[in-house]
Amino acid sequence: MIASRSVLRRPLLAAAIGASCTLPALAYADINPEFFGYARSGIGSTSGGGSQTCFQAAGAPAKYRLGNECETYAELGLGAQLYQQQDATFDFASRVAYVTAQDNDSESLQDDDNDIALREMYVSGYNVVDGLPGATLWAGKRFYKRHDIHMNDFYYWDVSGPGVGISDIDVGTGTLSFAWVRSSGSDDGDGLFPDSGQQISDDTVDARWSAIPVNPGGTLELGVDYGRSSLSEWQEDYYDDRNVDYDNGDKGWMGTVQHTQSDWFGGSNTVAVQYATDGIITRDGNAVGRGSGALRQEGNMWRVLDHGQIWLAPDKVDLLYAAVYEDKDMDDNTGREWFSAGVRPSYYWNDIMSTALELGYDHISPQSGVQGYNGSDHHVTKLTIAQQWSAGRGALVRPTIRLFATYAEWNGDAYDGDRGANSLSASAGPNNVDFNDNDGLTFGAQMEVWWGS
Amino acid sequence: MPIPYRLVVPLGTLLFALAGCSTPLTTPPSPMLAAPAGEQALATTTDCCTSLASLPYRPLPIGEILDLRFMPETPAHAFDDGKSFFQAFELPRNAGPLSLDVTSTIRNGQVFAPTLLILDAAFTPVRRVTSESLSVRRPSGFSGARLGEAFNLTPGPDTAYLVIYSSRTDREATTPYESEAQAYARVRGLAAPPGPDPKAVHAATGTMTLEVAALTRNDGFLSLGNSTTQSTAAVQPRTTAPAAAAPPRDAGDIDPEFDYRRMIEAALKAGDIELAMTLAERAERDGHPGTRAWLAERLQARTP
Repeated sequence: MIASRSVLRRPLLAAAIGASCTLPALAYADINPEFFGYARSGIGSTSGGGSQTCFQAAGAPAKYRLGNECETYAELGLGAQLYQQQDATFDFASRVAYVTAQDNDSESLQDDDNDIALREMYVSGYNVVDGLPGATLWAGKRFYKRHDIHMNDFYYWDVSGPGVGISDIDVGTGTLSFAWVRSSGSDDGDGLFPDSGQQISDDTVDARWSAIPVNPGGTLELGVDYGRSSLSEWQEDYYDDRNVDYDNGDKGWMGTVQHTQSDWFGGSNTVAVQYATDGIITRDGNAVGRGSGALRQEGNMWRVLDHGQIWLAPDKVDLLYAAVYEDKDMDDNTGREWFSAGVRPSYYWNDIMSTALELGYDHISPQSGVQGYNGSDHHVTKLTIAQQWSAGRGALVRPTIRLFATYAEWNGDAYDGDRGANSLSASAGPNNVDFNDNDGLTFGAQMEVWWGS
Repeated sequence: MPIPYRLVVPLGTLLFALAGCSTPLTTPPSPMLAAPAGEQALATTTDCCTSLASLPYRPLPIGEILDLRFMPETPAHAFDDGKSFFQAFELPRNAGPLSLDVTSTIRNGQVFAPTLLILDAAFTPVRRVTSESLSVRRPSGFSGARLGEAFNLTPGPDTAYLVIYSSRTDREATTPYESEAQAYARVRGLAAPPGPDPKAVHAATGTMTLEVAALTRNDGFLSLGNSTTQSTAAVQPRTTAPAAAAPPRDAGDIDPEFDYRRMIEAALKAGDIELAMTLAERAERDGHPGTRAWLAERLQARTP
């Protein structure tokens, strides 16, 4: 009773002690903003005159990137942990991406070739679902478990967008993740749609079983994505009136089997096999496995790829490598085969300076119905030498400042008479080699950085 | 395009690259010794000193960032918890409270995991902060994964010397850390690389930094000078330390921003002089000198 009286006599002391005990649990009491992101920018020229040309095979969804990027690109992210109590946390993250053509000082983001885009805005709750310890519940738009090849900036499994999901549910052998994401299309591919502002909602359901241990240091990931265009009744009526058969072309699925081996010559290796059907196949973009907005796209796609990083001599020489084979067999013969292979060995003179070489090769075999670029087999080979100054040793250490020279050769004319794509893509940057050239040389400097707290 | 002109740029780049190799513009490699070689070097290094009192102490400068080397040429001593290369400092007298910020960066899968040993004026150990107390800080893009922590201490007869070394227990543990590939995946929104976190070996040799600054108030750091610090308890191997864990803090700590004087004012207004005095005592203990005298002035002012 004495203790009780003591507390009652001291409401201020009780309040002070109570406040000091509860403060850490209050969401708004202690917010530490996190700043994270990515950026690259630089300057380059084409031998013979003009700004830097970037060499990408027409019809290929990617190009080898070292000394072959012509734009300023940045992602700036802000986030914070907003709540933490015992093992449960809520985190917020946002990300805005910027692209400019790297032409001059003041580049309006409204100009052609420039862009600003809201890429992420989501909240994730870790350990907030009873019965699913270790799982994360999330909602909002986000980059969702993207799989890429760093060397050629190729995202082969990417269902990012606005959505909701629960991820990393521990099932004893690996983890399960489920997501529903949106990737609206503004065009049906035929120019029939009455108003491009009226979007076709493409929904993708993504299910993954990840981190399945299969061998020492090796894990397997299995994934299925099902995508379909969600047409409103008036949209269905519109197409029905025009006898458009969207029953098959507006939907599709993609399966992925991927094995990742760590402890692989000091690095890791990833091999993936993917199969996709109909509407989930992206035609020529950096493609991924989500609804494409094309209502009458029918066909199938096989993709096999392997990529990784190894150390050929510890702390002295490492190697990035990649190989991709992709066969898009479309019913209207607008697909193509794509074979790509590249290596990037780097020699580290010391902790700061390195010399990198990148050799990349892309080969395109179009189907007979391809329009808009060289309909014959064509290829692009590029070789880059770069002297780099980085914050350490390793292919994935940044920031980096590099001086580079890139030589590329290809078969067939670079561009058509209107400087549209022929053997080279016309949208990879300035097109400053002559239209009938078969090779080109560029040089310049670039910085690249990523960071996060 | 004339052929000679084409060759100018790649050849120029190559020449520039090769020239760079021989110029002093680049940073020389940081000292690094593989963990097994470091252990071997330690084993063959003779004990420099017969006791803690005979270690080569040097003054601890305030307001500087010290690069501390623990290499074969560094003195070694057989401490009671294991032989180690060490750095020994005499703390500045009459300097008031100090903050110490220690950082040991993980490089090539290994790290120097330090113990901080505080000695009194008679060279008797009074406090020991082991590497288990340090936080694992993940790469920020500009700094690699590292062990780090901030402490404060107030030099005096009971806190006269600082010795930094790595005990046998420190070296038996490992530190899981976020690799560059994992950091890249995290900040780019990529799927996290599968597999467990890499673990840094705790090496007998290495480098770390020690930043020393004068404190004018309690900045909320871990204190080396009171009973809230880790004692000489045995250390378990660091196996589950979370990335970017918050600095460990004693449960009895009051928030550093706690406004004692405002609370004392409120207590006086409520007529609770006993509580006001209790808060003043607590403020003094928590690094707010002069609070007791300030309260005495307030009480005198209240006396009719």
